[in-house]
Amino acid sequence: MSFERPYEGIKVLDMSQGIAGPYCAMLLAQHGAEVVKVEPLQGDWARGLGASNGNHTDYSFIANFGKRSLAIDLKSDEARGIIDALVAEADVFFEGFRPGVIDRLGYGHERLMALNPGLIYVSISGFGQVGPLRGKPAMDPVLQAFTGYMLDNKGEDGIPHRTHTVINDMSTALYAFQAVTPALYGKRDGAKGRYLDISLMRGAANLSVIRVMTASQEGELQRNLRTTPSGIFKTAEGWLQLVTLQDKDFLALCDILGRDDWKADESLRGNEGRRAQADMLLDGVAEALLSKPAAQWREIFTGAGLQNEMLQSFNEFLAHPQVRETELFSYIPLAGLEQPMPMPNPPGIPKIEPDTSFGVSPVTGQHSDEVLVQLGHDADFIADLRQRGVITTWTG
Amino acid sequence: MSFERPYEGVKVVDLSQGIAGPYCAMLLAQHGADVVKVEPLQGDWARVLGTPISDHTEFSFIGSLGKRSLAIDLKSAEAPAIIDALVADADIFLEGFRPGVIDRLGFGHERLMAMNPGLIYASISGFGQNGPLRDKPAMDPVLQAFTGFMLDNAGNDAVPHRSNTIVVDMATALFGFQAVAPALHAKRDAPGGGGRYLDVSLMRAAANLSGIRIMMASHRDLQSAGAPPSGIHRTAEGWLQLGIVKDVDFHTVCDLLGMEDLKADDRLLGLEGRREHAELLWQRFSPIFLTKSAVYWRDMFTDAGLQNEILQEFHQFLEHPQVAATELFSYLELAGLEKPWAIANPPGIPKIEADTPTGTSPVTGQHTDEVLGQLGYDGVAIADLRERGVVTTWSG
Repeated sequence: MSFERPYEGIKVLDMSQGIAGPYCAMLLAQHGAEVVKVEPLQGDWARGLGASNGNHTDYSFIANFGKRSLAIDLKSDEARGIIDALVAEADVFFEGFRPGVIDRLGYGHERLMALNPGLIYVSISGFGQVGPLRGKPAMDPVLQAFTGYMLDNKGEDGIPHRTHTVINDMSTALYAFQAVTPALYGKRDGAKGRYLDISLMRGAANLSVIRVMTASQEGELQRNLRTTPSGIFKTAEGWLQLVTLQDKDFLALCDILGRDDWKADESLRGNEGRRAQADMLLDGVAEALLSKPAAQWREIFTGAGLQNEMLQSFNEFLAHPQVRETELFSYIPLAGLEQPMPMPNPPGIPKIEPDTSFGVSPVTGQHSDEVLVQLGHDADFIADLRQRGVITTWTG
Repeated sequence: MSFERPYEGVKVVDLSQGIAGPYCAMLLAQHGADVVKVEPLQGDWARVLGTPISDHTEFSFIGSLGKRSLAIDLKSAEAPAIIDALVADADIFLEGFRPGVIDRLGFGHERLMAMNPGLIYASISGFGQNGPLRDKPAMDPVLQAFTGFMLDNAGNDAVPHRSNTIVVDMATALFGFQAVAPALHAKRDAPGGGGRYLDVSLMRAAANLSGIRIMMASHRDLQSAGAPPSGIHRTAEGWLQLGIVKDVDFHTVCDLLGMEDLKADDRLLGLEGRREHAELLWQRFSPIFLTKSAVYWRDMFTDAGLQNEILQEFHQFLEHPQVAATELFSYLELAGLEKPWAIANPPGIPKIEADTPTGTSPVTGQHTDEVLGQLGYDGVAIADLRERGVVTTWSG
């Protein structure tokens, strides 16, 4: 047990693919857990999701840091003995197949938890393990559509669209983490294992809970005008995001824009008063902000204590001094890329360093031999499995 | 120790306000921790963020669920003794003031951790505890703008906009949890010690949330991504989200829509090929989708095994049988609300039930007397504190 990585000694078997399950298991690995990623011979399907760099994509790279990969054909005769041996000493097991599939493969939670009563067994699915949609395949965009997020994410043109950041996959990974870690804590006091049914739908519902609460009162949500005039405004150069929270902010804004008429208007005090005249205020601010570039407005508004920010691109963000000084990213080389990959450091985890076990994201089957040797299999046996197509071993 | 709520017995003092810190502490409370919310006499500022109902808004309600509220003037002469007494046997302390403020208030991590070496002290800030922007105030939209998320979340009209779901606040709460939970796990191996200081920022969480997009942006033009004809399509009635990644899926959709020529077109094989001819694909597909309703297309595509979904409003989502079957939401009443609020049940936590401690969100100072009583203050002393404006007690 290291205080830097509290989960040292914890063993995780990760059969999940994609992002939600793997990213959760990656966080456990960063906190010290020994995570064996069990993937098909052709690799986790995230390895084919988007542009590839060798055996990696952006998805598979980030979600597998610090794990070891065992590539094995789960339908082979030999798989059962190997997986069972790994399960026997595991603390946490992840799977992300469609409900029912893992049972057919022979690794359902009932059998595995009978084999290892202390096992925390995590199933990650799109819509949950029960209900009419349990069998429906679902990735992040499906859940953005299903849960109301996409219709709420309309542009100014009124057309809904998807958020490219895979917010549902990521939140599902994090909600899974918040389910697994207390279970691990309880296990130390003798708690038996538990079965955790984690779905993207549940992750998405929790992520948007505040909007859902509002919608549960109001039905269809109107344009978000909680604080007005707030929003994203086009400037002479670039975009500016501005928040007017309280009366004092609004009065400061009036001074900057020279709107003595707004300042004198008692009906514009308080957010409710401003909400009632939102269109007038938003149009007025939008017109005024076209006169100067965003960088100039930012100086003016920041000087007046108003919350605002220029819209930066991801690359501008990466280059910002605040990012450097807080050591927000580690840069990890990846074969086939000229520049190393920026890997964000999560809070509470030692900085990810390249060339350490925590700073390496395995290719398919990179650790097949190593894992099998640890289970007590000898080289002849491993070579035989490889020859018969049961496992693959990455040879570089 | 209950295994249903593994954090029973864990004590949390939560000085944070808004959503990121409070929501993290709320999850700890749902897992059984005893969380005392320490808020100003006029209440957490989240209590006025949005639509106030009674002493709550959606933000404060969800962020305080399962906690006890102590309303106290932190600048009063009596506050240090009271807070110190709470800190003395706390496991976790959360604060969310701008960097430096908590030190001036006298509750900085150095002093508190010297007093209680086992304390896990989490600071939640906008931009982190160091760097040129450390003092900059920041809520969710500021970080959406700063980190590149907002420009990436542009509509079809190329106008960037904010995600109304406060993805950065929620991610900060969840990444905060993933920092706290392993620390709590390790603390048990260091009797009397094992504390740690955790610097959790909205910026760090936003970077991690969008880690995949940031990696992509660092290496290629984000505009070139996408998988046409995947996307959001306007139909005769409603909107449809469709995901087509593999050739076999593309050919299926061509068959269904009678587009033999596209199916036979070798230029459209592979993701890269379809990306190159994205405009052609949209020109051919968009008019067809307009001829039938989203429900019609969903049924057809779902039967054919294609990933797709109707865009639902949040309230349609709430009414879906899949939501009922998975007990996704609990409904909690609040004085002043016409209908109960829909509260999403996080995974791995017993279902939130009305009229239980974990299903109650306190008003400002609801537990002031109770908390002070536990610290040994008698009725006379508490009345005196109240009279001198040091604390308030909810009496409504």
